[in-house]
Amino acid sequence: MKKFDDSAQLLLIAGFAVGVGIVVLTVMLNNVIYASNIASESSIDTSRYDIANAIQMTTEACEDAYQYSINGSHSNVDNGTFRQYIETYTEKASENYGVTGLTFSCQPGNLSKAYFTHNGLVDGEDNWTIVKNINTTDSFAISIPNTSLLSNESNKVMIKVTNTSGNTLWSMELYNSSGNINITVSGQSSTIGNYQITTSGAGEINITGDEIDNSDVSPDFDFSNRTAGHDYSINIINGSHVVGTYSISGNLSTGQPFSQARYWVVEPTISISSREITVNRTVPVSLPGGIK
Amino acid sequence: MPDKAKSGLKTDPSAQMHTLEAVIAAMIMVGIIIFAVQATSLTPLTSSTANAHIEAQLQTMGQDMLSALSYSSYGQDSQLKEDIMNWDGKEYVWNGSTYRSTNNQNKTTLNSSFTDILTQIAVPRGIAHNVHFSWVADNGIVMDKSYIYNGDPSDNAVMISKKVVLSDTDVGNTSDFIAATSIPDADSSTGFYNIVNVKMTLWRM
Repeated sequence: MKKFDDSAQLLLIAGFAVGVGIVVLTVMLNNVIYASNIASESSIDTSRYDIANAIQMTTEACEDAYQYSINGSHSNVDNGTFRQYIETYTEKASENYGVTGLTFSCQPGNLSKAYFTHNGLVDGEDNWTIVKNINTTDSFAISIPNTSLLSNESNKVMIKVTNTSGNTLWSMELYNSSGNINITVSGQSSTIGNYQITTSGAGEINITGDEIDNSDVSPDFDFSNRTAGHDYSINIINGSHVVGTYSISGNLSTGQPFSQARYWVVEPTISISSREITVNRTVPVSLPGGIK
Repeated sequence: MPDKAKSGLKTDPSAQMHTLEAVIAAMIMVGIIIFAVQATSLTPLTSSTANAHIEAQLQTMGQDMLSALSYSSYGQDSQLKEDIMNWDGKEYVWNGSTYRSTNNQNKTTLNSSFTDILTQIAVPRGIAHNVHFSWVADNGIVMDKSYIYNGDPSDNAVMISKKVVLSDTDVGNTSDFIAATSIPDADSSTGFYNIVNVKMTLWRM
């Protein structure tokens, strides 16, 4: 009987040992699952959302400030009015962020001439789309006031209109040739015309109005006819090789009107700080941007 | 009967004991496993209205809704800004079919981009929601007014906010806008009007 008693005790002890081991393993596994789930929540970063909101607000504030700062002409911008608007905006935004324990500041920066890149800066995206899904373009004009800031034939700047399949419907190539602006306009398969703006010209090209420096061109650019009946996009190629302005308006395929222009670019620097982190962002803003 | 067979029969009782011990040990182990699993398996993935994952989901959903509303294309005002500018200052409640003014004397209904997106996203999922507009008054105090109010939120509610800049040209007639909404012109000497903080609260019923 003594032999049997020893076996029973051993089995019971073994059973308890296995039971305790299972409890320990379960608790450890549970901790691992819990910790990994808590870690996954850290990927939901609200600071990115707040920064995006601050950038959007500042962009709209710059566009509004610009509208109050132009005295009838886009070349005559009142910097004092522009800065005063941004200062008032910054003060009010600081109060709003202060409620949530954040510090907000905004340095407006200076207005500068814009390149034909996506964000208007020289190092911005070279090839980009101005507007897509266009039904009709009511007005489209560009201006290249300083020929020295236009590249030569090896780096032609192109305005290209493409349909939804990517086929070119209409294009305009511009390059600097001994101080003159040489322009070649082409349709889907053939050249429509060659034009030149001499050094004495203002460099204003009214594409939909078929005018250069307020004078009719011959032959016409034929922009409207070549794009009629298509759902098309207007693209810029090699935008960093020219400084200038553009304005465009019309209707999208959805029936929604659009209107935008760029005469200047400004780079406000915004900063949002908490006790732990500080985020600084410099955001290029095209002015006037969307026109209401 | 041979002696060997006799001794085998003699040991039969110990085999039964071993079997019984094994069964009891197995029952103890299974019991411990069941106890341990039941006692410790409350993870954030456990189905409950009170867990962090649902809050995170509501947070993301709310951010997406406000981001969609605040998108503006090619010079158009965002839908969020239009909703603020068109607000008549009244408080509205979801009555099961529409957003109706809580003022019993004047039972107007609200049709805005905000109500469209809430009807499409929050209502079908059974997500209760409040929307408030707040701004900082001249004395630095935060003022708050209900746009949509469906009751007090639960402890697990999430709040998502988006700030919207208004200029004088956005508002139009500033005195009418102030009379309706109480949102003041922060600086009458410039074209800047004010910043409105749109605060949306979401919670599971």
